[in-house]
Amino acid sequence: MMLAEAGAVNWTLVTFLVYVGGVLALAGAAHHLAKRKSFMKEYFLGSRGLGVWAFAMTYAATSSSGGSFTGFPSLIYTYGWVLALWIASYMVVPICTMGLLGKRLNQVARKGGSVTVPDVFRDRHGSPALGLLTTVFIAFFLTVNLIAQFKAGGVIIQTLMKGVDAFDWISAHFTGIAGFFDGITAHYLAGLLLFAIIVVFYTAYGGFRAVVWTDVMQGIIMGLGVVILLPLVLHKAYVHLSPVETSAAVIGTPIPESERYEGHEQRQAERFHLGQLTDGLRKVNDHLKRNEPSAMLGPGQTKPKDGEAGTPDPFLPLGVALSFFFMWAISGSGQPGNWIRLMAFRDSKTLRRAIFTVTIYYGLIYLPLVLIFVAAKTLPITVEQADQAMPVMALFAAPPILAGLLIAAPFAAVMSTVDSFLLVISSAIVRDIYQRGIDPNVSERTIKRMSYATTAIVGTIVMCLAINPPQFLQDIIVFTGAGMASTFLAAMVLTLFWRRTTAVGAAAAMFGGFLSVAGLYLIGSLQAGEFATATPLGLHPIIWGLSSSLVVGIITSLVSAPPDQALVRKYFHASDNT
Amino acid sequence: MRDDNLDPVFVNSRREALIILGLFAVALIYTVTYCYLCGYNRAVESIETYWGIPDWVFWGVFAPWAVCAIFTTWFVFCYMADDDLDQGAATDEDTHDAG
Repeated sequence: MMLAEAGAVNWTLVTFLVYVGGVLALAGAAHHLAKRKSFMKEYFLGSRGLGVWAFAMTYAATSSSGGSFTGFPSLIYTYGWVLALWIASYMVVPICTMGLLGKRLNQVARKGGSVTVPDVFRDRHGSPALGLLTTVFIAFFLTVNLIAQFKAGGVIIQTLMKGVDAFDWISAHFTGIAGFFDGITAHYLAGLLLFAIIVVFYTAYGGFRAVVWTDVMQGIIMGLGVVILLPLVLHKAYVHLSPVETSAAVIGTPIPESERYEGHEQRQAERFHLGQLTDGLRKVNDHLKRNEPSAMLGPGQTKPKDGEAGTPDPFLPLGVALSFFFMWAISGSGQPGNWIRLMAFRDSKTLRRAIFTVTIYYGLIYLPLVLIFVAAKTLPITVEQADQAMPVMALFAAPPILAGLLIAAPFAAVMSTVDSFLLVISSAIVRDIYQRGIDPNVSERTIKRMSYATTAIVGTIVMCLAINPPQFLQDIIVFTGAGMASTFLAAMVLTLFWRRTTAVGAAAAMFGGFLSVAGLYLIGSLQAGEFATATPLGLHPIIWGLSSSLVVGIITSLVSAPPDQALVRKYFHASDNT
Repeated sequence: MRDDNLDPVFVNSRREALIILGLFAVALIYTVTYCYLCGYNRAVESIETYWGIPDWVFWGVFAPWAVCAIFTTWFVFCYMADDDLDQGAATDEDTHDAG
């Protein structure tokens, strides 16, 4: 494979190491700045002072998780154009996820002096028990999600550094452990360890501000990476793919390997012009029509497992398409990792401009990703594991020095999600359990030490759990995303917008959503014999989870004792606020 | 507790949230319906391309994406209120901060 080219590996490695060095330097700077500010608000919330670029990029980078740059490309590479519909909801994701709750959540957090998401529930309802319940749910979902993110980080480092002497030497020490697990290599384990060390160190050391600064850098790298990769891939498609006939009579007739790339040398010598890019995409479609027509249409076809016969299942039937459109926008509105950022922006103007910025940014990332990996299906690359589609493509299409940047893009996406989630978990434990539950008079010095230690311990636990993860990263990300939205979103909407909501009602909404999603995944897994979900009426569990959470929250609030009127006046009335 | 004394940030946020939900509903109905009718269960040879993009993806995803981006731009720059989020904010003592 391309990785065998020593020169390419070295240049890629240099770019990548410069990037990692930049991340660590930003962590150091953030740590230095934090010394002059209140630790708790600064370490976990950046002192509520995020400007437009910081807020927009940290929001976008955190939302664009490892799934966006590893799982999503692998799905496009497997199923084709239908993934455009699968991701289409991102056309409204920024305005939904930032605009629905952003302004109100930020205001309520300021009124209550809340620093974490459990703080918001606790302060708004005056209920420590509700805060604790929120903490437990957050810790569960984010830890599970982090397993998938750590896997992505390990895979990327493995792809990048395999063949480098020092990395191979480290990997050799993991051969024994790798032998215990099917399909796990020593190189993956070494990549996982390196990833964990880097991300845990800079997150623990720099806190929220380091996470935000690195998110800005990572967001820029991710955006630039995709924007640069698109024309390179389309040009490769133009150069590599031979013109083929696509009359109705031959559609579905595979083109022999020997004819697929005929005339490649002559086209390589042609002078570049923009028309080659759209020609490249047309050729991609022509080759797909011949070799894999199902990739041109919905619903896409799942591949039968090895040795299994029978008709392939549809990948995105109507009910699932509807569910995913619903899920990305609505599920994104219910993620605690995003809420922390909504609590940290400076003012309304910052929110408005950031929504615009993220809207443009997502358009520049997700649509090109579809084009890039549909094209990848027809190009002469070898993807050994589905989740390696992005790094393999970067190494194939980009010059070596750019490949480092492009490989850093998914790595940046993974890091920006991991650092954010690590911080949410450690803040939940240190702030909500220890400081507000056990010792309110704890010193700042102790809080600092506990925050560093908690981040490191959580990172280590997740790394161990990621040693033998499931194959498709996207499955876990979808489960945790749906689970968190179902558990928290209705509870938060009611908390922010409905005066009659009670603490019991909010807790019931959380349980209602959680049990619905967990139950459907349990039933689906028992039926399928692997991690899967049941989809009653063809709808994803998030729709059932959100509906039941909302209904249960409303009914329970109505039948429980009315909320404290002083709290209602504080959060909903103008007169007491001035 | 009279409704005319409601916090203006709460009132504005609620109104804006309803409009956003409306946009979401329209985008969902159009995109999923169009893609299903024009991109599913169809003969592959009938697919045309615009700039190399299959027609059902172009009109079902790329075009509404552009429309949503334009709507979002209008919404955030011309409609969304510039509310004061610090009104009634807690003091540092209220934040239970060890620092």
